[in-house]
Order: sequence, then C-alpha cells, then structure tokens
Amino acid sequence: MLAKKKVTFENLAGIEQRWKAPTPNAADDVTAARVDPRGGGWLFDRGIEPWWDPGGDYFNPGEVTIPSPTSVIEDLFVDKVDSLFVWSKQNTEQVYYLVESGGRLYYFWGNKQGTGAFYSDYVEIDSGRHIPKINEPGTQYIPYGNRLLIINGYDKPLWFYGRERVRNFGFTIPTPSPEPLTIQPDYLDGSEELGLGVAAPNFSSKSTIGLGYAANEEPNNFDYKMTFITDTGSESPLSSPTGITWQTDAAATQKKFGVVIKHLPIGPTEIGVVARRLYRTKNQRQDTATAAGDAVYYLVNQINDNTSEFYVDIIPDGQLVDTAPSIADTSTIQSGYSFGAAWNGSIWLAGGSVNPTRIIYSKQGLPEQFGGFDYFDVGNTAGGAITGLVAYYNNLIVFRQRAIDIVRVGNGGMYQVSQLTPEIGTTAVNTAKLVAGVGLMFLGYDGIYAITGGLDGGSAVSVQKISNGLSKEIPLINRAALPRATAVYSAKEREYWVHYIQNGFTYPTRGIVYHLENGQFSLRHSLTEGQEYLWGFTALAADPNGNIIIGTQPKWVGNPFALIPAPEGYLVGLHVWSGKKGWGKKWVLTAIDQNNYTYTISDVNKPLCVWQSDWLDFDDNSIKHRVFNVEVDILAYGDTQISLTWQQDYSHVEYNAGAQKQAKSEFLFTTQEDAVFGPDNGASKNYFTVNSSALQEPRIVRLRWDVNTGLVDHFKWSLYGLSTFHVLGVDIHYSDVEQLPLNQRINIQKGQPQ
Amino acid sequence: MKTWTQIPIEQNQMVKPENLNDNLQSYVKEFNGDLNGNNFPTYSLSDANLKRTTDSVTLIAGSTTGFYVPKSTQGFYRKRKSSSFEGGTDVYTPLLSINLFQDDWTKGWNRLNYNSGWESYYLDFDAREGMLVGCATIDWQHGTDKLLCSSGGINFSGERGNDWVSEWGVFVNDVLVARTGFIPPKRHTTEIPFSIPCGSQNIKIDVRWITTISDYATTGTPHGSPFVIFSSDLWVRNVVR
Repeated sequence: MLAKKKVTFENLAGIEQRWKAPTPNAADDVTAARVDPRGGGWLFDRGIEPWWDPGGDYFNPGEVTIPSPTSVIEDLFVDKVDSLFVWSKQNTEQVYYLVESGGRLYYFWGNKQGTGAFYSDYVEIDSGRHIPKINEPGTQYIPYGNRLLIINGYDKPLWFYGRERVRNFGFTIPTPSPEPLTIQPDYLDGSEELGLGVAAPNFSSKSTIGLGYAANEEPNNFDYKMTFITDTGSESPLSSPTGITWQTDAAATQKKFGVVIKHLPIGPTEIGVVARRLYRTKNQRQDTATAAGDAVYYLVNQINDNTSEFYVDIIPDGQLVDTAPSIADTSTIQSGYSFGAAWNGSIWLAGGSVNPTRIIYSKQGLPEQFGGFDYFDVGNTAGGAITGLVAYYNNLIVFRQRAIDIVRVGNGGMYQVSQLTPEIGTTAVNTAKLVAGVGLMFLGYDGIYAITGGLDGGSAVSVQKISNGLSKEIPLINRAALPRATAVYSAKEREYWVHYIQNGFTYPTRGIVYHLENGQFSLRHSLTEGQEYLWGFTALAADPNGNIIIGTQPKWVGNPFALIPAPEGYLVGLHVWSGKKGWGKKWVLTAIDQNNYTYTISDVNKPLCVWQSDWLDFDDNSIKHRVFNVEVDILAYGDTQISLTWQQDYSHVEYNAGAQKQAKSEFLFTTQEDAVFGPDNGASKNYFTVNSSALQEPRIVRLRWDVNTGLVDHFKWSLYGLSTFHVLGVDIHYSDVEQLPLNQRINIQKGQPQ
Repeated sequence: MKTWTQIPIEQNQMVKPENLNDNLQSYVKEFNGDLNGNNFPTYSLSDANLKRTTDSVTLIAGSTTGFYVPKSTQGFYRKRKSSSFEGGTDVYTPLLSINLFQDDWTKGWNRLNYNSGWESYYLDFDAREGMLVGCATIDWQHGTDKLLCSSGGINFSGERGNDWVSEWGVFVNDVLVARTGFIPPKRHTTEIPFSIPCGSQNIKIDVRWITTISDYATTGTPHGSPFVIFSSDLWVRNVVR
C-alpha cells in the first residue's frame, strides 16, 4: 500500500543535535564516516592499519640491543603515545614521524619487517622525558627552516637536525670567561725569572702590533669577554669579564706586549658551538677593580673553531672597531617555556609553570639569540596564563586560559600585543590547526571555534563558534583534560579532526570531525560500551600526503609481560587512517626468551558504523503519524549487508527492520548481478574473474525497509554497517492521523496528586 | 613514500574499477618517481655504498701534482707541491726561497703561483652549485734578521725582526675567503680551513702570502733569513646541494 505522504531528503546532512533542528535532514549521530570526495554522500569505508606493519602472522621485535628490553617494550608497546608530529624536513624528501611514548622520543624510518628489523628502524632521540599529566599539553614541535625545535616546559629544549643529530637548544647557562695570563714586564730587564703562570711575549715600543703603552706612565688595563657562536649563527650572551693589568718599569721593560689567553673556553658541543668570539676593552689605563665597570668591549677576533684553547692577542687598540653585543642583543633564556612558534623569522617561546604570562622572541634569522628586552608580559591583562602560540596569517595568536591575544608587527616594525577577544580562551593548544578555507580552528571549553580573517587590507579578524549543532557532544568533554585534546587537518581527507577525553576517561576516546566537502560535522566514537578503547586516539598528525597518522593508547587484556594467560594487545604502535577494512592488529604474546618477545598477529574487526537521523516530527508534532517504510538511496556494494533500525517517540528502544544486501534487487543472487570479490562462499553467483568479468559503473540503488510504527509523533531511523556502505538520501513514507495532543489537564483526569 | 590501503576490499563486495586502481596506483606512483626518505630506510645506505670508486692518484714528490675527481654528490680537487726531501733527513731544504731584500715581491698579497716552478699550483675546475670546503696546508718559515755594521774597525751586530709578521690567505676567484691572522717569525706548518658557497661556475683557488718587515737598512748588511716554503698542499671538496 502506498502511503499518502512522503518526506524526501536528497542529501543527508551531518550532526545537528539541537531541539527542532533547523535542518531536518541532519543526523543525531554519524560515526566513522567521510564525505565521498567523488560525489558526496556519507561513505563509511575507513579503517585503521598499523603504521609499522609487523608483516606476517608472527612478530618478533628482534634481538634487543638497546638497554633494558622490557622497559623499551613497555614504553613502545604498552604506554600511550603522548605526542606525535610528522616533520617534512625542508628541501629534502625526509619525512620524520616523531613519536613520544613512555618518556621516549623516537621515530621509525622505513619498514623492513622481519626479525630484528623493528629495532633497526627505530631511532631514539631522547629518553627519560617528562610524561604529560592529563592537564598538560605535552611536547610542542616547532619547525624553523630545516630544523625542528622540540620543547615541553620540563626537559631540555631540543634542536633536531634530522637523521640522528640532535642537540640542546639555546643558551640557558652563562658563557664562561677567557683566562688571560698575567704579564710580567720585569722579566725583560733580567731582574726576575719568569714566574709560574705568567707570560711576557713582547714587541718593541714602536711596533705596530702589541698591546699597552710601553712608557712607564700609568698602568695598562684590559678586560676580556667572550661569546659562543652556534651553527644557527646565534651568538651567546657575553661572559663575565676577566681583566689583566700591568705597568712597565725600567727601560728594558718598556715594550708592548701580547696577551696570552691560556684558556679560551671550549663551547659545549651539546649546544652546537662552531666558533667563538673574543672581545676586549681598549686600554683603560686604570685598574678595573676601581673604576672601569662600564667599559666598551670590542671584537678582537672570531676563532672559527671550537677546539683551540690558546690564543695570543696582539691586536692594538686602533684596530678594534666592532663593538660587542649588549644584553639587548643576546641573553640567556630559561628552559621552562612550554609553548612556541616560528613566526616572522623568529622563534617565539611562551608560557609554562615558571613564566605563565611571558612571551620572548629571538632575533630575526637567529633562532637561539634572545635579546634581554625582547619580551612581552601579558600578565597585566585579564585572561590568565598563556596556553599556546600559533602563527596565523601575518599574526601570532596567543591562546590564554580566558582570552586570545594577538601579536602583530606595528608601525616602525615594532611588535605589538593586544587582546583579540576576552572570555574566549582554551587550554587545548594541540587542537589549534590551520584549516584551508576556514582559518584557525580550535577546541574551546564550550565548542569548536574558528578564527578567520586578518588585520590587514581592510580585513577583520573574527572568532566564531561553529559547533552550535553539537549540543549533546560538547558537554561530554572533560574540561580539565582539555590540554590532552588533539587535532589534525588532512588535506587528503579534507577533514579537521579533534579527539578529546570524555568525562570518566583518562585518554581520548571520542572525536568530532569537520568535513570541508559539505561544511558538516560527524563524530568518532564506539557504539558499543566497553569498546571505547578502539577509539583511543591520543595524538594525531597528518603526513605530507594527507594521511592521518594516529598515536594510540594500546589496550592490553591481561598482563602484557606474562605468558599465562596469554595477553592480547590492541592498537599497539602508530596507526594510519586508511581504506583498510579492519582496526589494526591484535598482538598475542606467545613466547618469551632471554631477549625476545614473540607475538602472534591477527586482524581486528572494524567497529560498527552508523548514520542515525534526528527525531523527525514530519513538520507537525501536534498530530500523530504512521510510518510505513524507509527507502534509502545508497551506492551498490554487492553482497555485503547493512541494517536499518527505527525508534519512536524519543525512546532508546531500537526496532530492527533487518539487514539487506547492498545490490540491485532485480539482479540479486543471479548471474546478472554485479561481480563481487571472492573467495567464493556461495553468497553470490557472479564472482569476479580477472580478464573475463564485466564491470559496471558504480550504481545508485534504492533499498526499502518496511517499518511498522504505531501512531507516533516522532520518528528516527538508523543505518548500521560493519561492511563498507555509502548513503546518499532517503524517502520516508508515512500518513497523518488527525489526533490532537491530549489536554494538558490530563493529570486531573488521572487523579495525579499535585 | 609510506603507502597504505586506499579503498577497502572485502569478500562479496562489488568490484568497481577504483577498488582495483586506487590501491595499485599508490604503488605505481613509486615507479613514477614519487619517492621520499622512507624509500631509503636508516642504515640501508652505508659507508660502503658511498666509498670512492677506483680512482687512484699518485702524488709525485717535488713536482706539482694533484687530482680532480668530480662525483655525483661531491667533487674532490687537490694540488700538492712537496719537497723531494720529504720523509728524508734534510727537511730544511726549501722548495722556494724569496729574499725579501732582493727579490720582487709586494707589500700586498703575493701569489704563490707567480713564482718560478709554482705556476700550476692552483686549483681550476668547474664547480657545481653548493659549498666549497677545503684546506690549505703550508710548511714555511720566515726568520728574523741580523744586521751587520762594519765601520771604523768596529763590528756591530744587531738583531731585528721580532715584530715582523706574516699572514697566509686562501683566495677563491680572487676573493679572500680565509686568512690566518698575523703570524710571528718562526717555522710553521699552517693550516687554513675554508668554506664558501659557490654557484655552478668556474672556480680558481690559490694561496697567497703577505708580510710586514722592517724597511731596508741603509747602512750595514742585512743578513736576514729569507721567506721560504718547504711544501704546500691545497684541497677542496665541492659539496653539491
């Protein structure tokens, strides 16, 4: 029987969870879907697979040559991924997938598979690192040119070159001083022997080289300082001065002298020192101890090595021209900055427990050279501590707890900091990502925001909340754990993902996805209680091809280091969002010997996916409706199944309308049906054979599910699938019954007490 | 290039052209040159793969010899002028001796290859864009001076030259790229490391010296030691970007 009325949605929208949704074709839940880039519609064809594929049915991590194998396995296979960053080194084809778990910072290069290959591909950069707590954002990665700055506010900042080369970043301790030898003029008149630890290299009084006044008039006094130069060209702060004083006496001693620097400190190799500069005052002609505190220092020479310790200074005062850098040019920095960005040619550092409201910036082009006065302190404006720095357009966005500030280049090239918006802030700096066509998206306390526009050329910056339709999802977010939220933008998927810790959990298990293809949101979460761990995505990143790389919280059932009972591990290691029909691998520990752990590897089934509609009232909830059937337009996927359920009147009870094959009904189970992949299990009569099977164009088919509602005022339907499915639109056939709502005074008729 | 599954394939799923093509395409891309660092895993390339091939060069003592070995990622160029006594007992016999009170020289930079027998002591090659990294090593000596005055039956001998200084520099296409700074009189083996970016162009590298001595004495007879060179070696590596 045909229904009298039908409602048609040609296209199905994304999540809209508000009452009386403005778009009735919207969904209450869409999980694990993407928008088909080839033609729209919700396509449920994504799974995850291991980034580093063990290969085969067994996996043996191999002969463990690095210390304490158990702890390495624990750090890599059991502990969650605390941070993840994919770094494409500039001007190279080197792509580093940097991972931090269990306090180890490492990457894998290649995937050779087989015994022993695991540790051959493993390159450790640092270990014993601070493991972020649930309210800490963890490690930040800041690319600068073809180097990468790695900071977390606790451990030494690292400056990563690629391959295995890494060193400490910046000048965090004062520069040591050079040590000149005392000049002993009276050695020259024969009255004294040359004392221990003194020197007297001399030149005639008329020589063009040599230091000091030869005549016996007043003392000669010189003070020395030095600096280190690193391979970034940055110059360390000046060391403390060390002085040298002498005075000539008898005629035989009236000479010019060379000053012997017997110990020119060698720079620490862990900060990449490649050269040193020696600075000196001109002849102050008085003892430093009394009156020469504000002397001007000049460059004597740059020693283009970091090995020689001995230097003789014979440069006369007249040849000293270049003055030494002041504290305004270079100073030591603290290593406790938690956030950073590279912007306008400088490294910007900010925040952290020691400097919660301070921002410092390096000299342009010199990433390690921070001027002593090159800082802002935003502590005098409301907004709380700094929670992140992100370079955006031609501005630097400063996230704070309850405000967003903006740094820009003002008139005369001076930096200016001002407040962009009060009251809107975030602690989820790891969710701030630039999204093509939108702007800077981030997760705030009460939803997802987008910063759009700029400050130049008549444009205006605006901060807009764009997640108003996620009214059921946003309250699930654990606000205290917001710093552990993670996000990624993938140009390949054209999606912005944000995954977060929900209330009651200690690691992210739910996610929201913004689809650029249609401007809609969908969700990522488990539909089955107890399987939340399958969505334990703790850190996200995208590689240069747009593949979304996933750091996980591995789930071990049983003790991962005991053979009996055999422990099972899920989501072990990095994973990739891909077209794999599956959910990574299950590792079962099957053997242990002195150095080896052997695991049996098997596939994990993909979790259930759903497209679930909003509650429909067919434009009028004052009358009753009877729904006859739901006709769904899908793309044919052959002899795989999808199921439809329906609900009525806000009940959680789902009625099953049954499963159907995703094929054209007329051809189903005939030799005419579309060829399907084998192996042949009798489910189809047309299995694909290479070079003989005819292929069809992908086709749209309409599947009908009869539902049998009573008289209802609200109706909801859901499409579930474990196999790939692709839903486009829907027709719902129904009829109306003129039955008005019950009188509001029904409580009196039923005798309900007041 | 790390590659993963593009489109799912499962039993009983309808076969579409893109199911077959998209997954295959990601591997075909590698044949088409879509490669990156992951195609060369760590340690898959070792020193053995990068060692110099079978270029063997014999350096002949006493003459200017050298080799030019351009390679795909870097080129090696070297010139050497060594004493025939090198390794023997008489290492004090110089290859070149310049009497600063008689021979032609200037108070500016003096080219080593302007001297007789040293004409070919410079590097001349076509570099490719990248860096030139090299070193000049010179075994040389400049001593001090003794002045003899004989007048009226009095013989007077005076020493001078303690404040004489010399300096060596390496010039790339006539641009000074590395210098030693002032060096006082003595016998020295001086190493001058240098590095400079270069384009794809012809490169000429030579070594020059400069010295400051006292004016010629109008009275007396200078008996000073000449500016002498015992051997010299100049090499450069052209590291291609």
